[in-house]
Amino acid sequence: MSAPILVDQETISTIRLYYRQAKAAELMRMRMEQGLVSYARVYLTNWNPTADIKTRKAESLKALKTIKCLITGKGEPDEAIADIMRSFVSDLLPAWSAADSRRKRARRQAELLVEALPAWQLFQTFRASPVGG
Amino acid sequence: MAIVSDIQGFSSWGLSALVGEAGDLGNYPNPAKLHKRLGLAPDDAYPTGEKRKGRMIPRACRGRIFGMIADPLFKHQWRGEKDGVAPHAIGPYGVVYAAAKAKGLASGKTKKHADVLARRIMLKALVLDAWCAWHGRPLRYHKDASQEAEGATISRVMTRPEVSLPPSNPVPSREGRTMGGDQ
Repeated sequence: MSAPILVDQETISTIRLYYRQAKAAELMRMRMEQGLVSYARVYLTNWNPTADIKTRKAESLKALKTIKCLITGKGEPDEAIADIMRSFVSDLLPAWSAADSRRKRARRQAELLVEALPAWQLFQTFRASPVGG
Repeated sequence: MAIVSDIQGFSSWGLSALVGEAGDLGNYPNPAKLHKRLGLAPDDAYPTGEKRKGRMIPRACRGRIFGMIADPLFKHQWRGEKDGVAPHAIGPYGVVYAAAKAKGLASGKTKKHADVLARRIMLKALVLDAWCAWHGRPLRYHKDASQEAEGATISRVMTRPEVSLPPSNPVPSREGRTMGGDQ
């Protein structure tokens, strides 16, 4: 039986810490998005718990798309919903951006550390060879 | 000699998730223990909790691993039906998925149940290969790639990159704390 490749335990702890930070930041971002979508769906669309599933899905998608458009600034939002939600989104946008940038930063740091691990270096060795592509 | 291959759909973030959830993979003497830690072992393998809490399966961990590793892996290892071409595997883990799904369907499982089960088996195959890589062993499911990479010489000593440590949470000292009744 071959012994495992020795890895600095401090690196493992740091990877885990960055991973947890990235997941926590992602969770915060998701909560904000879901909160906005939920409000828009319940109060600004024809969504109703007693409606049939097709209607509910369509209305839910409309709310989701509008919030996504307002946050990213891309696409065509539903103007009726967007008029009311624009101020909500602009108030939350700094927090959303902070959580997102935090997530990206922590993820990048974790990836940098993982890419230095011997196990990952072996992946890269084969990736560089023409057969591996 | 450790042999590792390129795995389509498994990025460094995927390995970060594995390490983040399970810690040092070198601490697991066999892959079954790693599967169990990640919630991928059969449900019967977990002990029952106290009273009516049910089995102590790390479901949250399993969910994260499925979302972060299994889904991208499936997209890169399996091609669905398109333009009259039947669904087929486009990677070694796709082959594992196909075999497991066929077996599930043959045993009378529904299409969805067979799909979920096959995804889990595919993910377990990947985790097994990651464990093998960590332990310097040939990969089990990437056999062709293993033969190609056999001549590779890799340092078994790690060089740590220049990555700043995250700021630790400040812990208030006992003197600084104010309790409700001390006012």
